[in-house]
Amino acid sequence: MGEAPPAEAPPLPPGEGTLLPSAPAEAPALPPIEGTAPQIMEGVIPPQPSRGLFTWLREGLFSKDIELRGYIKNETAYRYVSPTAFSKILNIIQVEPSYSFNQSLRWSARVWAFYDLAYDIQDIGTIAPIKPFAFIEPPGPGEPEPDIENLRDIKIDHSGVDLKEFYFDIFFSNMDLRVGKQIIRWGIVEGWRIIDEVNPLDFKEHILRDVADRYIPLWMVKGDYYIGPLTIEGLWIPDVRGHEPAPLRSEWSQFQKLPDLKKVPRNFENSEAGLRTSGTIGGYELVLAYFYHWDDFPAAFRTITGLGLGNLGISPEVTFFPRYRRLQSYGAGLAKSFGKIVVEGEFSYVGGKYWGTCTACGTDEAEFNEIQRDYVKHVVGLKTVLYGADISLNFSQDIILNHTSDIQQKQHEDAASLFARKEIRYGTMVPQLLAISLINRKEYLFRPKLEYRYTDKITFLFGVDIFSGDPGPDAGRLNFFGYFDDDDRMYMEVKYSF
Amino acid sequence: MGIKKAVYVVFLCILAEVVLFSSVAQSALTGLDIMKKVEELPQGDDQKSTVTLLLTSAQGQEKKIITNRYWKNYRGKDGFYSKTLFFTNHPPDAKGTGFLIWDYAEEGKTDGLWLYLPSLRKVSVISTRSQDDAFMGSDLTFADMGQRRLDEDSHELIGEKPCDGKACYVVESRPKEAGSAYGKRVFWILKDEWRAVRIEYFDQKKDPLKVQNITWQKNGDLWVWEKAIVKNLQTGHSTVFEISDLKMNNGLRDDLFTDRMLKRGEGP
Repeated sequence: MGEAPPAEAPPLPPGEGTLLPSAPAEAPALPPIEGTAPQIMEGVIPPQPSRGLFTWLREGLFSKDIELRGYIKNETAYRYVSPTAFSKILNIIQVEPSYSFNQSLRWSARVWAFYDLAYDIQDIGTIAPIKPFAFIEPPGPGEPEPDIENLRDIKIDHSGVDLKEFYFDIFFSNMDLRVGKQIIRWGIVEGWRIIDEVNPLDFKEHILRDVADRYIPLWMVKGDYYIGPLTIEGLWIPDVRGHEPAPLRSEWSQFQKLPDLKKVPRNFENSEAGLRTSGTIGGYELVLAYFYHWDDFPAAFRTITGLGLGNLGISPEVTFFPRYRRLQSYGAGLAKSFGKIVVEGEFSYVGGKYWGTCTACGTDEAEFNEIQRDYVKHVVGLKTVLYGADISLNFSQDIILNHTSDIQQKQHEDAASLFARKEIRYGTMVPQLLAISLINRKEYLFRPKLEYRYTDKITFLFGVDIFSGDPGPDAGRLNFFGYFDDDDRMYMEVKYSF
Repeated sequence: MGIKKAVYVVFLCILAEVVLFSSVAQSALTGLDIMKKVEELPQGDDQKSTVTLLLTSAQGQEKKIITNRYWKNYRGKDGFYSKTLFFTNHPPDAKGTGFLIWDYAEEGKTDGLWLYLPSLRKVSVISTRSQDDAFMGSDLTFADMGQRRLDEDSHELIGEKPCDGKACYVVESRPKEAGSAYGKRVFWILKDEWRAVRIEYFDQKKDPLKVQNITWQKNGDLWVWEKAIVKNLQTGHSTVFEISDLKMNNGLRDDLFTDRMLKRGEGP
């Protein structure tokens, strides 16, 4: 069975309010579990747990019918551009238990534990070398001197345990509910976030990780109501979060949350909500979506004092007031199969986005502000099969409406992608290629890889990630791919699935 | 053969080669008559089963695929010929993968194909496979798994030979169009039962390419594949198809064959 062409999503380049430098990354992972099995001496009966909650869970709730799947994986990446380094030797255990209480209720979870050996065998400065526009900040008053082996005070979690997903499915005759921490995919065109904007992204490893690791699951309630050929889906998301940048000054550090960024208080009024209608009508796959949400990139809202006083030796002072802002997105999508060709597309109108402006830039009279402008984005694509290979071609645009010359973002950003994948040697070898071009920025990402299915349970993956382009004009406007022009890497993965 | 037929296919042949006993004046039969008898066999109202594929390379390396299959015969009702849904149970990293096929009755209308990949957490419309593409990485192609239109080949009864202790018609089918995957196919069909027990595939040079041996199981009055062993004589690779837990005429509901069920990753 052929698989759909899963492509990595080139999301929008960092938007307003995501400038360097900034505060350290948030949300450190939980510490690793420390556990040792008790030693049992021959002939000695180990102490039995009292017949309480544990026994009830083991014998009652979690009987042998509990389903357990997951994988153990090693991901080793080697940056072959100077300074060369093993940029990760990541070991992962993922466990996905699920349990069906009955025909109408099912529980599912996904737990992820990881340990990156690279940081134990190499200097952190070698793994994450200084890039253009990056600099060492001196410690603030009262702050300790940084570790001599980590002069730049890079804070990376080398190990941890994350509860990635945890939800209950409740099935009714014409309705399904999913309650808990989960990932929602709203889009039609794989790899593009046009209407697929529900979950924020984790940029810990840029956009190089798979969907399940790149999308940040959120606590929410999802309801699907089925009426005729239509599915009406409603979302209520009290768990409001923005995109998560890579740790500051780490290898994939690019944009950062600004100092003093206020989290959105979690209350009913600040919840996100969405409504999506989809169905297959006359052979057309149609989607309409509305999403009332927060911008995953906060707006900067800055004030600058001291401009024009340079001749007096006074530097201008920039004060940021970063805030998450509300957005309203209206989206539509369509897919139609014409036999060996599938045509698909998505469109979204986003209202309320704040953009950074700069007038008289580069002069003493430079003035920075924010301006609210709606924007639209769309993607069109073709999928087909050629000589047994799945091929997907896409073109996308973001267009700022009523654009003015002082808006720092260009009026439109164009991007295109090509994805190809073919199973050969009876499906044991799967070569594939993903190429993404940010057209008017002249930036590229190439991701050729080869999957080798050694057995039903053991898979090897060999790949190369090649970035191309200029790093960007300044620290506040780093190019999305070009900034990592010196981070090309080769990698290998070994995965045991169970 | 139309793409529609190639897709409709999928497991149709595996489970739907059903046979009714009939009495036909054998002497009047041509190759085309015999192939029509095979094609016209009833298939039941619906079926659910477990299908296991065991792929073995020439070096002995094995790979197993286990799927649950649900199939409903619409017989043209609501504009559909049939609908098929399957879920992968094995290998572990593909578990939960769902594949839904709507085979429209309207001539020339492209089948609807949807794929659910748990790793992507979404249902995608996919394009139809080429007839010559390997079916699930096996030694059979999508065309082999389907009901190639009879008028796409010329069929000739080339003899009667003993097979499985019974008598078989031997029918040679040669493609009419150029560029077909095969130079010819030879079907061994049980007399009066219209069940193919052996199919020989020859490449364009007429050299032996593959051989497929089929054993059958009886479910009620209907005969269904129990096991099919396909051996590629040129590569040494082989595939064993096994059908188990077969249940027919279950009264499967229409709403089983929707993206709602596809996303669940398992059948009822």
